[in-house]
Amino acid sequence: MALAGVAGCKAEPPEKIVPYVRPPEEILPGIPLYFATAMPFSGYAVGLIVESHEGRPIKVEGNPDHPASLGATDVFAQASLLTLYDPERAQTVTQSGQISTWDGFITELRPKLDHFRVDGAGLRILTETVTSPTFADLMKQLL
Amino acid sequence: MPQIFHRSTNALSRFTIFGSLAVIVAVTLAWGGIIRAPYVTDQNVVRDQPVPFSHEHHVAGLGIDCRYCHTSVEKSSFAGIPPTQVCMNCHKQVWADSPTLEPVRASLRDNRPIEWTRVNKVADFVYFDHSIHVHKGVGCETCHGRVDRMPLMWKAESLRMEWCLNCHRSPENYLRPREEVFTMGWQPPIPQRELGLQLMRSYRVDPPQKLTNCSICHR
Repeated sequence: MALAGVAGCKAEPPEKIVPYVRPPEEILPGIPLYFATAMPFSGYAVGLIVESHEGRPIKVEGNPDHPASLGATDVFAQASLLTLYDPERAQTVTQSGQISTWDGFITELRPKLDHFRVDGAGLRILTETVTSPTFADLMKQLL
Repeated sequence: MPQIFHRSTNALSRFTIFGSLAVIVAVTLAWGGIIRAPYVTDQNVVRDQPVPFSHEHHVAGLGIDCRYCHTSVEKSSFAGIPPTQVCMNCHKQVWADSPTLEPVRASLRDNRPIEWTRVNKVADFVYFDHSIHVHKGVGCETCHGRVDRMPLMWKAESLRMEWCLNCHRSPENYLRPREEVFTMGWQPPIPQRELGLQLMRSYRVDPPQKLTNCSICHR
C-alpha cells in the first residue's frame, strides 16, 4: 500500500488556528504591513521599507521616498533580514551566562548608576559604530 | 496432431480476459470513490474544539452577522478567527459563569490564545483569497454550507480541485448579489443562470477561460 503511494492519500492531520487574545491595532491576518525604517551602512542611514506579516518581517526593500537610495537596496540591506532570524542573536537578558530579566537588569544597575556617573568607569556599552544622534543621546542620558 | 488444450480451457481464457478487464474497471471506480470519500476529504466530519462553539446558536438563534467575528473576510485572504476579546465582548455579561466557557475566560486571564481545530483547509500551494470571492458575489453558504444549521462545525464541501473548478468553469450557477453574500438560505428571485450571467457582467467576473487558468490559483 505504502509503495503504491496510498499512504500519502489520507487527508492531513488536523491543524490548529491560533487567534490573538487581544488583537494588536492595525494587524489584519493575511495582509502585510509595511514599515519605513532605516539601517546604518558605512555610518549613514539607508532608508528602507520592510514588509511584515503578523509581526514577522519577511522582506526588505528600498524606500522610494529616501533621497539617497530612491528605492534601491544593496545586498547588505537585503541580507540584513537574516540577522533578525539569526539563532545566535541574543534573545533574552543574561547575567553571568544565566537567563535573567529586564527588571533584574534594572535593579542590578540602578544602585551602581551614581557611581558610574562620576567618571563613567566600570560601565561598558558594547555596540557597533554608532552614528545615530538618537542613540548617542540615549547613551548620554544614561551617564 | 491432438489438441494441446482441452475445450474447457476456452472458458478459462474468456474468464481471464474479461475478468482482468472487470478488475481494472472495479479498481478505478473504487479509487475514484475512495479519494472523494469523507475518509479522505474530511467532508461532513465534525471536529472537536476546545470550546463547543455553536454556529447554529450564534447565527440562526441570535442573528449575529458573519463579519462580527470573521472581520477580515472582505479585506484579506484570511477570513479571520475572532480574538478571545471578541468572545468576551458578550460573554463577560452573558453566560459569564458558564463552566463551558471557562477556556475562553482562562484565555483572556492568562493571555493564552484558544487553539481551535481548523475545519476548512486548502493546500499551501493553492492561492485562495476570501475577499475577492466575497466581492464577486460568492456567498459564504456556497462553500461553507448552512453554517446556521451546524451546532458544531464541519466542512460542507470537499474543497477538492474539481470542486473549485466546478464554479470557476461556470460561475453563473453560483453567484448571488453582493448584498446577499452573508445571507443563509438565500434563494434566487429569478432563475439562477439568468441572474448569474447578469451578475457576472455587472461585477466584471472574468470569463471561465481566464478563471480556469492554472496560475489563477497556483501562483
